[in-house]
Amino acid sequence: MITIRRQTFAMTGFNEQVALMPNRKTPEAEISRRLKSFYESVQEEQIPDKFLDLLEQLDAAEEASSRKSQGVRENNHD
Amino acid sequence: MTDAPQSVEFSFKREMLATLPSLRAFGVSLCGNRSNADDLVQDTLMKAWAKKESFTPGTNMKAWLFTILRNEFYSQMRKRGREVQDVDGVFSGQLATHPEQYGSMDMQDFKVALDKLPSDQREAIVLVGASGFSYEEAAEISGCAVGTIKSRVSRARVALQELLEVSGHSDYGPDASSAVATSKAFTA
Repeated sequence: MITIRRQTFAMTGFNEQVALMPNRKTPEAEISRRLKSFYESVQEEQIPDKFLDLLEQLDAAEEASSRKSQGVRENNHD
Repeated sequence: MTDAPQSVEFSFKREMLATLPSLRAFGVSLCGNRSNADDLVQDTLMKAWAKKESFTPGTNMKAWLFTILRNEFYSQMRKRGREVQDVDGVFSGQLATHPEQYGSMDMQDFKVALDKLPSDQREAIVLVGASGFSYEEAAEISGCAVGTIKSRVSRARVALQELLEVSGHSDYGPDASSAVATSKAFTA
């Protein structure tokens, strides 16, 4: 464990070392933490259904038009 | 056996779906609110679908979609006749008077501060600090030099620290007492 810590510290600069320390707040680490937590909270929100519907519609519309232009291809069954 | 076009098609849609949460978070970061962001994401998906032939399979779909969303954002801003470069943050400051009630107070404060940044700085710090892009990728998405992205990110950091009054030693928030305890433990 001690060896791993030493290696980690050897590879990073002073600022990164400070940022790695838990609960030790540098202004940089504090801003990073708050930015990430804001972004992640939006990411975790449920994706609005309208996006999923839209992709399905685009997909379906395209499939229909490509069938028209190319003629019906043999459809494979899953 | 599935034929080739169909499997390419499938993975295109699947990759788009996988990128949606992050793409939407980037949209909310740029627009400042979810309603405009969702419209922007919807426009982005339609644009992306229409030009999907220009996407090279196996390359970075996330960066490709982010670029489309970012360009769409600025093009819509221009159409609305708003300033693209909000250097003093005056515009976004005014627009940020009604923060959405999402997340903790801490998060809402952060969002208000983020919205006050000029859009080029906000974009840069979000791409590098939250979306997981390298400086090089962020520069490509934003259509500028790597050095420009670096300086925007560092200006954004300074501005956020000032707006949020985050200082290294004395942060008078709910965490102040635990921060003191921690620093004592470190010096002991």
